[in-house]
Amino acid sequence: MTTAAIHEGSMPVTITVNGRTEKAEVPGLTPLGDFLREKLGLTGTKLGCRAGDCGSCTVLVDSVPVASCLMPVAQVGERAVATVEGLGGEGDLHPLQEAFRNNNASQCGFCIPGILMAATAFLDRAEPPSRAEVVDGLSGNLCRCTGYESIVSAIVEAHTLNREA
Amino acid sequence: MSQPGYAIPRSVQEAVETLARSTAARPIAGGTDLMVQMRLGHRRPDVVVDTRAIEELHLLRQGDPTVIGAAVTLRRFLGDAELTGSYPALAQAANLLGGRQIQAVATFGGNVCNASPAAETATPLLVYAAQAVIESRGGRREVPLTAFFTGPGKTVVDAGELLVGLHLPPPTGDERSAYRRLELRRSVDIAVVSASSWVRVVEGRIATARVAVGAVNAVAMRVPAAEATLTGVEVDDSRAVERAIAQAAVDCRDASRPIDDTRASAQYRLAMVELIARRALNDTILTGAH
Repeated sequence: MTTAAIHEGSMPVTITVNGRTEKAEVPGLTPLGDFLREKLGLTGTKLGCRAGDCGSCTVLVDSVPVASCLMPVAQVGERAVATVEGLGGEGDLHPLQEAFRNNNASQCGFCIPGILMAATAFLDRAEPPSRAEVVDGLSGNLCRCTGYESIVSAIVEAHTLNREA
Repeated sequence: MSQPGYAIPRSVQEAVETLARSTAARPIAGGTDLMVQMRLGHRRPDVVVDTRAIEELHLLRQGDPTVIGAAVTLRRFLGDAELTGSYPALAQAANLLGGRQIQAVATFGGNVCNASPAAETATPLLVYAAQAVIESRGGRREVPLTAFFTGPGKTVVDAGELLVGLHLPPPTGDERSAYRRLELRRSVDIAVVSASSWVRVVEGRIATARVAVGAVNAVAMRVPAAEATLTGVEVDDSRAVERAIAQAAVDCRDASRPIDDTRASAQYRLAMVELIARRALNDTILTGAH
């Protein structure tokens, strides 16, 4: 009978983040969010509650929004990770970022990277999302500043911008 | 605290061999409970055994029995129209568990093995008469979910054992079921009280009834008294149905021994379990959508 190798301490981890292959030696249980911030310097991903309640650490794993505070980095495997850094930047804004700017949808901004990543789930569909659908889709993301109205407007608008782009 | 070791077995066999090497080893699936418990020091495994690469744990299919692998995520189940149609109470519960980000990784195996008295999937799985399939080096055993939970955070899954999946009897076409819960906030919250019910109607009468309540005892559990109250009731006799539902809800309250915690007082839970059980039974028998 064979047992699986037990990695004590650090183990080699290779993951793909925003299209780049990244390698490091870390404990397998290191939360993906800590790995992104501490090992890769990708501090756009924010760690809030570390319990999966606030959604500020949301990243995409194979295009699916997940809480990066709870996923052990060793569990990512072959799946592609996308963070807010991969969306776009100054002069090259992603439709979501443009819509958030147009709608003043960010106040303190801490929750915004997670909300942007969660909102990508709405962009691929043919029909624009209703406000109720956006509210439902953001049930895993907390914002303590805006009251969500401007965020919902921005996501609805981003769908249109994305179609035109 | 030193970091636990990390193992990634490729088969059930490899996983149970690895788990058998330490009494403090613990499987990890989506990590949505365990990662938090380890950070807070509530669980201190010395080895964490990652179940994601084990193919058998990802089985999901309707049939005789219906199989829900331990590593099947809530989102995957929710995306299967056949299964959500056949097991609506389970779909309602899964849909209320955490936000999208949690549902994407949280698993059925993790939810039952974490054994929260308030676990969303526990009461629906109880009324669907689920069997837990558990493997160890010594072989495979099946345990009815009614005997699976042994206390808050505790199950019959021993050190060295792995929950492989859940087996549910196939839908027969003449049953109805529903899940209800009371929570303090609409989403990303844990139930203050929850209830599921399931009835099979044969020739106009309730031939079999199953009722389960959550968050009002040390474990989620069936309520045999409520089931006896409902059995034999003629579903077209609206007064008899109303009376039976009211009495079954009282039976649920009488079977409850809730505790005070941060979410609610024992007294409030006791008052609410009757209401939530009644709502679940109304949805199941009167609404009859399923």
